[in-house]
Amino acid sequence: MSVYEFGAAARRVLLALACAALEPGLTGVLLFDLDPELVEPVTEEFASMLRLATGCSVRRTTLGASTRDDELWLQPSLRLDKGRMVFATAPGPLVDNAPADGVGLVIVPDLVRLSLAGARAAVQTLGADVASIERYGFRARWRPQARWLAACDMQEVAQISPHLLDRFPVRVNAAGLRSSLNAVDLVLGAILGEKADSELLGPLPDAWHVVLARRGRPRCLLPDEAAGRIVELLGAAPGGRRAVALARLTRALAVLDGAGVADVRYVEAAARLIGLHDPTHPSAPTAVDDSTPPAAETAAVLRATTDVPRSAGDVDQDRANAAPAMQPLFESGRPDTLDAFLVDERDRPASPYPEDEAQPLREFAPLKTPWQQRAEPSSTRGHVVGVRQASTLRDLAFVPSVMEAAKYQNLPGRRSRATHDACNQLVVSPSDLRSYVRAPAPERMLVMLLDHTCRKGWDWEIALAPYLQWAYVSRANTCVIEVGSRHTPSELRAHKFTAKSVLDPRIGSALYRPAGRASPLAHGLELIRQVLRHAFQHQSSVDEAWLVVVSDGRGNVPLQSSLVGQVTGPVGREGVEDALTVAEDIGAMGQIRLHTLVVDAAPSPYSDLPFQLARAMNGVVVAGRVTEMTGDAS
Amino acid sequence: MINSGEVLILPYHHVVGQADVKLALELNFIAPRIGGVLISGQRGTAKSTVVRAFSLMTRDRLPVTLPINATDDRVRGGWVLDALMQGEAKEQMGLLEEANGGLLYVDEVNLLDDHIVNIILDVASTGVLTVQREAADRVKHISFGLVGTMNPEEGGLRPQLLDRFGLMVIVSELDPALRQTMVSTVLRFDEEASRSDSRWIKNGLENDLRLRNRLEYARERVHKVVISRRVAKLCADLAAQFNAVGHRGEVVTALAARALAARDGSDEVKVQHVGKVAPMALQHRRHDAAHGGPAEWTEDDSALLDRILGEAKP
Repeated sequence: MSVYEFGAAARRVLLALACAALEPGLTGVLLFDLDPELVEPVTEEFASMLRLATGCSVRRTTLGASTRDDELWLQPSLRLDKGRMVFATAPGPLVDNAPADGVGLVIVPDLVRLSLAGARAAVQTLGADVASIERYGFRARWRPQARWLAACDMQEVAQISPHLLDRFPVRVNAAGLRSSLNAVDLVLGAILGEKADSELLGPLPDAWHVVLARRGRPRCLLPDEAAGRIVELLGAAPGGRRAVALARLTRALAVLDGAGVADVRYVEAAARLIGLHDPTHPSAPTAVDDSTPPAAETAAVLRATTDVPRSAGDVDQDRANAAPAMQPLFESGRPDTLDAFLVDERDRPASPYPEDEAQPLREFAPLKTPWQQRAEPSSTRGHVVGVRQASTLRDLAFVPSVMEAAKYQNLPGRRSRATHDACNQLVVSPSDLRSYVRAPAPERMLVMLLDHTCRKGWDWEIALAPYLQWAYVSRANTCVIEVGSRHTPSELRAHKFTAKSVLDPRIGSALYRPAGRASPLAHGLELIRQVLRHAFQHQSSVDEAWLVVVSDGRGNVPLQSSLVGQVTGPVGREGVEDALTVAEDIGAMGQIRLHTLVVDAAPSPYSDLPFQLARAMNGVVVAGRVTEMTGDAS
Repeated sequence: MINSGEVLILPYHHVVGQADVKLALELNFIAPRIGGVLISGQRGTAKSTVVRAFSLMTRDRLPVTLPINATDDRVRGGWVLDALMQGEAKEQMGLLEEANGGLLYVDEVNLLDDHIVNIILDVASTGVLTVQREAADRVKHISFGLVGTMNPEEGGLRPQLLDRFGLMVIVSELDPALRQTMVSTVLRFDEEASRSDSRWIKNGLENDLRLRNRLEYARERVHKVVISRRVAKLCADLAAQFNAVGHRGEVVTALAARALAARDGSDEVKVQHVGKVAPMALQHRRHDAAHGGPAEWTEDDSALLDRILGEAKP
């Protein structure tokens, strides 16, 4: 028996993919921080493992930001049948018909940018016992067996729905994965169009090759003790998918190792593979450090193994890959009993499930089709929410159009026209044409900075009501930046969230957050600057925006302190000065589509600060607090 | 319909935990007038598996399923395209009609498109399916129980749709011991499902059959179970005390309590039957939930329920 040691990122990814190829239940694999250029070679290696494990061809489908429902579920076709043109619908790429049509492999190069249709498809099919499709007269029901291989930047995980992420319980850090080709080969490959890297993950060890080639996972038992350890390692993780996935990963490792029982050592190995840390011993991670030799007791276990499946080529590959990238994201250093506490939040090793702790940056209900109501005409870039009879030739929905035409092919008028033209083609008349109904791309935006430290004894909802009402009436996107809340993961930083509409319940909660001690106003304004720049420069659909800043201007955290997450000394007026500097940057944007105002919180002393802030942003001050302070409203 | 790949569902008997979900589905089977079950819970809590296993146990087939991206022609019904192209007008039954007299299952019901929700509400509230489009003109009386599963992280349901579900169950996380059993069970099912002669699966299916017989027997005798005026008043009082919107709350409480009595072999509905089903029947009909807020049942609610039940006991 051997126990696996995970060295380079290549070894981790290779092993995870081999497990996914072997174990049909491991359908969703997510690679963190994979270099985008390596998506194709990794996919190719996974596809070859799948071919080996299933004996079937691999049907690849790539999903991206523009993937639509019509492309996923149906494959419309026109064919000539007995001299007549026939329209037919066949199952789309996500409808599995293995082994007849081969095993499916769905690739999502960037999960953050996956379209709404793609995300909903993943939620419907990944890990499901059964999936079904009912569209345009077409019906299918099948057992989803396709594997999904997705990649995303760990820093952007907070933008993804946790519901979607849960469908990818196998996570592997691929940050250290590097191409084994030298620069000359890369240049020549790019120019000649040759395959980039066929040995990215190293050769599949012979023992694994033999197991995969058996085409069918042999029996392997999971003892109760191992199941108990899995539950213990995952602690109070939401739902059961992670536990089941870790158990399947454990079993796959044992099978690859030729074992008949997936005991606790394989649980630990599986946990190391995905970077899972032992919650009962936070200072003793399950992972083995890549860059240092294993501890003596670990080495003893490794020495006791008989067949660690590593070839000389693997070691070279590891060395080649290891040098620049031996700062694993998941794995901490060797167990060290001297430090029983975490010095800093940022020093804590990352979890394979960062969404559990990340501050949500996604929209409210991101998997739900956007609302259709709108006050203004929308652009044609929103999500598809239906079809209607086309009045122009823009944004035609081809499948529904052809289906509409197909219904009437046998009517005398069309039949005679087809015969007259002697073309035997499908006759499509203008009345058949359908165009997409799309959810509106927001054209109005409300950006609100709420400084909770200035709210003592003041019900600011009255002062904010006109702007919230404007946002409601015009269906505006609403971005809220909170400063100085007591309920914040880091009081030195401002926090923002974006809502599709003012009806988002998070906005109501944000209005009544209790005040904390720090007021990182400069950081809040910096976030505003970024939001506005993005809205006006990248989201050209925004025609009008209101910036409403509710603050007394008394920022007490310098911008630098917010950015680095610590205060290094006395701050003096630095927080105020930084806020005014960033405010000037906002004013310098010179946006005529932006209305800026500061709601006067009537600070005492320093009552002029709101006016300075407004002047710096080229805005105006409006009266806010109208009563004397009566106590802490929070 | 294209059916590909053998669908493998864990036998209902082997589903670990989820006692409340199972109870709600069984009560809805015994008394279909309850109108359906909404199962709300965090991701990965086997909500869909329970529903499918229950359908296989009681009806020998998977439930009629409405996927979230269904088009309206498949919901209401339309024409068979192939036949149309051959010059023959052949109707294609919609999912609502197909579910007539049974269950319509919607996985991720809170992600359903608004226009599909509107169609369901129209039919569920009137009991009439009207199709007047593309030269079709037909009206049919139909009734179906709605079973939905949802993850509340992805948003809630419109109050009108929420009210259509007779019972609502909030799935709780399993404790560590049950989690361990769940992990072992799922992995064992992986192993056993590949064998045609699995005794473990066979044992599960035999137990399913026994439970099905018991449920069918309860369904036959549910109308004979007596519900006294005192218990009916208790149902009404509970709905009032918990500020349930409308009168469906007390009606469903009474229906579910009677189904529970029939399931337990009792000849009359007792206070404890009412107490057991009241949270399922009322939690989503209270003022906050009915106006878009969260549906939840707190310890204070349980204490209030116990107090009211205590006062109602003879």
